[in-house]
Amino acid sequence: MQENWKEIVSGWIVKSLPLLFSLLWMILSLIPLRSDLNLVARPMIGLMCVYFWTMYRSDLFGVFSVFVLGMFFDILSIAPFGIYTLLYLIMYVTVINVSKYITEKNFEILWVGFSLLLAGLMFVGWFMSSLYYTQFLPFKSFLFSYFISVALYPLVAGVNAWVMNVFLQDDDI
Amino acid sequence: MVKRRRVIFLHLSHLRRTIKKSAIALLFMVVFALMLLNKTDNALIEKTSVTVEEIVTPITKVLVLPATTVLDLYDYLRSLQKIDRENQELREENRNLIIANAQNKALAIENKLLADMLNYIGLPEAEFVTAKVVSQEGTPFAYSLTVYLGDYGKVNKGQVALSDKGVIGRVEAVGKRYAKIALLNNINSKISVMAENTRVRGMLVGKNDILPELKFLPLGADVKVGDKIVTSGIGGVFPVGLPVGKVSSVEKGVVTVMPAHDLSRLEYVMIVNYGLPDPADVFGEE
Repeated sequence: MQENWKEIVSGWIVKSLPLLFSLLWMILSLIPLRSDLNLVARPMIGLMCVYFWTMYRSDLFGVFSVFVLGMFFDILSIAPFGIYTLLYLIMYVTVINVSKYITEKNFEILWVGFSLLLAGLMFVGWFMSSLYYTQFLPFKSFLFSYFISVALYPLVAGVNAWVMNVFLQDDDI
Repeated sequence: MVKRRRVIFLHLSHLRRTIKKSAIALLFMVVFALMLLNKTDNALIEKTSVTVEEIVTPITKVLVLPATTVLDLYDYLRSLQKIDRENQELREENRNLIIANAQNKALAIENKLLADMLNYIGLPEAEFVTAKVVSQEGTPFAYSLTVYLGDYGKVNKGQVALSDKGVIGRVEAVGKRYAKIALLNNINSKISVMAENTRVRGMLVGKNDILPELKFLPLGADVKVGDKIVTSGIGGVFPVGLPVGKVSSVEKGVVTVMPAHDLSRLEYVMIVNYGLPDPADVFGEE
């Protein structure tokens, strides 16, 4: 009985790994770097995680996980409340609909897909936050954040892929 | 009896299926509702945010340790190269400071005598706490810092945050042990300032860009690159004369200011309470 209970808990933890690892990435992205990167905008780590996990393990990373992840960063941030959740949900919906048509998930294609999707989402984010503050925000910080996010995507995807290959390979997961 | 149970069970599963189907639309609606709620300065969202911050920031503090050690080592190795030159510069600076200190003491005595003669009511003495930066947000949506306050419970929203070189922002939210500081370049940051020499007043406004902008200057105001910008004291929270930065460019009527301290390399900040009442509150009471 006790073993059964332990199995259930460990099963839940393993199933929550995509969300837990994404939360860890988010916390890491808040570490002060003592570099100019602190000011010229950081990468959109959350969007990278949503893209990766929705593409590969949407069974373990559903819409509620996306919502929790977005709310988590919204609460920590002083940005317009809800903006991250909104962007993550849009990313999720788009990837869920597009991934049906991607039969061969090779990395280069997914990287290009991420860069295209991110471009659209950065524009939506810029537009929504400009609307919130009733003034146009400078576009260049969005642009810089976009390029740095695209450049760092292989690193984040690589770590996530390692987590997926090591912990989430059993047939029953 | 059995039939009745089956009916309820069917209803529940049907409800669950409907929720699952419409979850995405529902969550989108929730987000929009929360965005609108926040626009009306809802205290609930602020309180929730502070509570979550209290839980997450200690985790960040632990995670930051290895990164800080590496950065400290890098800084130390870099400092070794210039330590001799720096030593000579410091000796020279120390000599100048001893002279300046003596002059300041004489001026302080003279100032006190003159203030007493004029029956001048000075500003209350400032209380301050020095806090370590534990996390930094720098996405295109917001620029802020989280600092550790420990048990010091006298920090309030709106108080001024300083580095050793000048103003860096103001307190945006306060928890039990942590405070969130909106930096000068954050879009919500607005500080009443003036040019130190010409006393021309304006408003230093964050734009979510690297440098904040100097706005609402009087027509024909003479502002040049290199002019020192200090707080004007208008608004009540900041006293007069705190260094803020220098004018870095004046182009087509847009004046940008380089903050006195590099906002991307802050390790410790001072949160100062000048005990000045908010004029809006004072006049609002009458």
